[in-house]
Amino acid sequence: MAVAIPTRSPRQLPGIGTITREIFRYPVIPSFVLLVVLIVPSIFAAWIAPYEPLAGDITNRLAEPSLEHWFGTDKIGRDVLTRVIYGARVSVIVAGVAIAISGLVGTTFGIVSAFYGGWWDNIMMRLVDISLSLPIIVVAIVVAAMAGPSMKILIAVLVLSQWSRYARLVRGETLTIRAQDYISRARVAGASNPRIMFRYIFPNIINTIVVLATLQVGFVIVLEATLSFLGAGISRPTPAWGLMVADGREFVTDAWWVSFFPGLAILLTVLSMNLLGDWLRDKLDPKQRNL
Amino acid sequence: MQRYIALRLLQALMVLVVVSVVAFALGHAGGNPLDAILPDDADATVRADLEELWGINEPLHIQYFTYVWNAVRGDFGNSFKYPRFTVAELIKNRFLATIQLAGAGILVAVALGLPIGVLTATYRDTVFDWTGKVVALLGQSLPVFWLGIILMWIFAVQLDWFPTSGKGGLRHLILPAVAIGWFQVAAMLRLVRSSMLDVLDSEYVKLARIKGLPERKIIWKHCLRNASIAPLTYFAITLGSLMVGSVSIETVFQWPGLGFLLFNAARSSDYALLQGIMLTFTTIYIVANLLVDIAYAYLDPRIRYN
Repeated sequence: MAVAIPTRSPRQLPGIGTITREIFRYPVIPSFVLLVVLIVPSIFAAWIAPYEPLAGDITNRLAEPSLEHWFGTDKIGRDVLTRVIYGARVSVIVAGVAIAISGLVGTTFGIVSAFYGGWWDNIMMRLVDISLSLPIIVVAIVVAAMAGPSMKILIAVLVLSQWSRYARLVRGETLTIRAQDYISRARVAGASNPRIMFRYIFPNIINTIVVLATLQVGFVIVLEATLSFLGAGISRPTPAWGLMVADGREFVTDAWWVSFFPGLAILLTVLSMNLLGDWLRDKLDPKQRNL
Repeated sequence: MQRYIALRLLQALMVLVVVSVVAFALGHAGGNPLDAILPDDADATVRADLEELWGINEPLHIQYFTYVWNAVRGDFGNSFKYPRFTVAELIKNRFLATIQLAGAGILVAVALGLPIGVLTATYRDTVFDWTGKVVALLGQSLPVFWLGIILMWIFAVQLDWFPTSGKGGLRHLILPAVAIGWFQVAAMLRLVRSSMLDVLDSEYVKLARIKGLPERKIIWKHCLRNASIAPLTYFAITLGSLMVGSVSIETVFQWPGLGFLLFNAARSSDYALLQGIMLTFTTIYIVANLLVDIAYAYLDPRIRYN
C-alpha cells in the first residue's frame, strides 16, 4: 500500500478558494446560524412556542411526534418542542452568568497575584491547585443533596470549578507582560499600581480571556446539563435540557423522543459553540492553538 | 527530585484536608441529621441516646477530629439508606464495578482511538482525516449521559443486542463502556494524530523508506512505537477523571458502582454515605494526579526544577 509522503502543510486544502477553505475549516456561518436557530426563539418563547411549557395535557401523554406536537409530548403530556425552546434560556443564563463571574474573579486574582507576587501569589496558586483538583461533579452532587438544588447553588458550583482556569492563564500572561519595558516606564511616569494593572496590563490579556471564555461555554453547558440530569442542578418543573433528558430515561423503551430532542439541542449548541471558539481562538490569539 | 515529591505530597495532603473539612461541614449544614430521620413526635430520651451514640453533642472541632480519625481507619459511619451495611462496606462492594467500567472505557478508547489516530495522520486530508475530525468534534460536544441513552435505545431497545441496564456478563458491560470511552476516543485520536505527524516527518522514517521497508511496517511498527509515548501517559491522567465521570453513565445504565451509589445516596439524603463516597472519589482523583505528576517529573527533568 503506497502512502504519500506529506509534502504540503496540513492546514492547506488544495483547489478551493480562500473563503470556501475558511468555511470548510471552521464552519463559522453554519455554526452561527445553528446557534441563532437554537437560542433566539427562547427569547420570544412566549409568542413562538406552540404550547405552555409547564401545563400538560395528561390525556395526551407520551404522544409520538406528529404535526400537532413536532417533538412529541412527555410523561405528563407537555409539548417537548415548547420545552426545548424554553430550555435554551436555562442553558444560556446559567452558562453566561457562571462564565462571567468566573472570568471576573479569575482575571482579578490572576492579575493581582502575578503583579504583586510573593506570599500572596503563593497562596493564590495553592488555591488554584486545590480548585483544579476537586472532582467537581462529585462535589456538586454532595452540595446539592445537602443544601437542596437551586440555580444559585448550581452557578456557585460552576464558578468554583471554573475561576481557577482563568486565574492560572491570566497569571501566566501577566507575568510576561509585567517584565516588559513599558510597564517600568509607566511606573517611572508615576502611574499607580491599580492604573498599571487596569490600563496597561488588562487590555493586553483581554483577547486571551475572551478566547478561553468562548471555548468554555460548551463545556459549561454540558456540565450544567450533566448536573441537572443527576438531580444536582436545575429542579423540576423548570424546562432545562439536562433535566428533560433525565425525564425521558425511564421511557426509553417506548418514547425515545422525550430524551432525544433536548439532548440533540445540547449537542448542537455545544458543537457550534466549540467551532466558533476554535475560529475565534485562531483569529484573536494564534499562540494558543493547543489550548 | 525528593524535594519535588515532598512538595507535591504536601499539596495533595492539603487538598485532602480541605475536602475533608468540606465533607464534614456539609454534614452539618443540612442541620441535625436526627431531624431528618426521627419522626416529629420522637421521644426525647431516644433522641438524647442517639446524640450520645453518634457524638452529635460534642463540640464541632472534636467531632471533626473524630471524623477524620475514623475515616483514616476506614470507618465512615453507618448508612441510613442501607442500614444493614456500613458505609465502608458499601464503598468496598461497589468499588470494583467502577474500576471495571473505567478500565473497559480505556480499552474502548485505545481500541478505537489508536488506529483511527494513525489512519488520520497517514492519510491526511482524505476521507479518513475528515472522519477522524468529525469523531473528535463529536467526542467533545456529546453529552455523555445522552449518548448513553441513545446507545441504549438503538442497541438494547431497537436491535435487542444488549441488555438495557444492570450488571452481569460481558454483554452488560459493552454499552456503558462505549458511552464512557467515547470522549476518551476523541482525546486519544487527537494525541495520536499529532504525535504521529511529528514522527512521520523525522529523519529515521525517511531512512526506513530509503532502506525499502514496507510502508505497513514503517507506520505500525517504527512510527507508532515512538508516537505512542504521549497518548499512553495520558491514560494515567484519564483514569482519575474517568472514574469520576462514571457517575452519569452508571446512573443511566444503573451500573452498581460508586457513581450510581453516589446518585442514590444524594436522592435519599444519606449524608454519611455521601461524605464517604466524596472522600473516596477525591482521594482516587488526587492520588492519580499525584502519580502522574511524579512520573512526569521523573521522565522530564525540566518540571522538577521549575
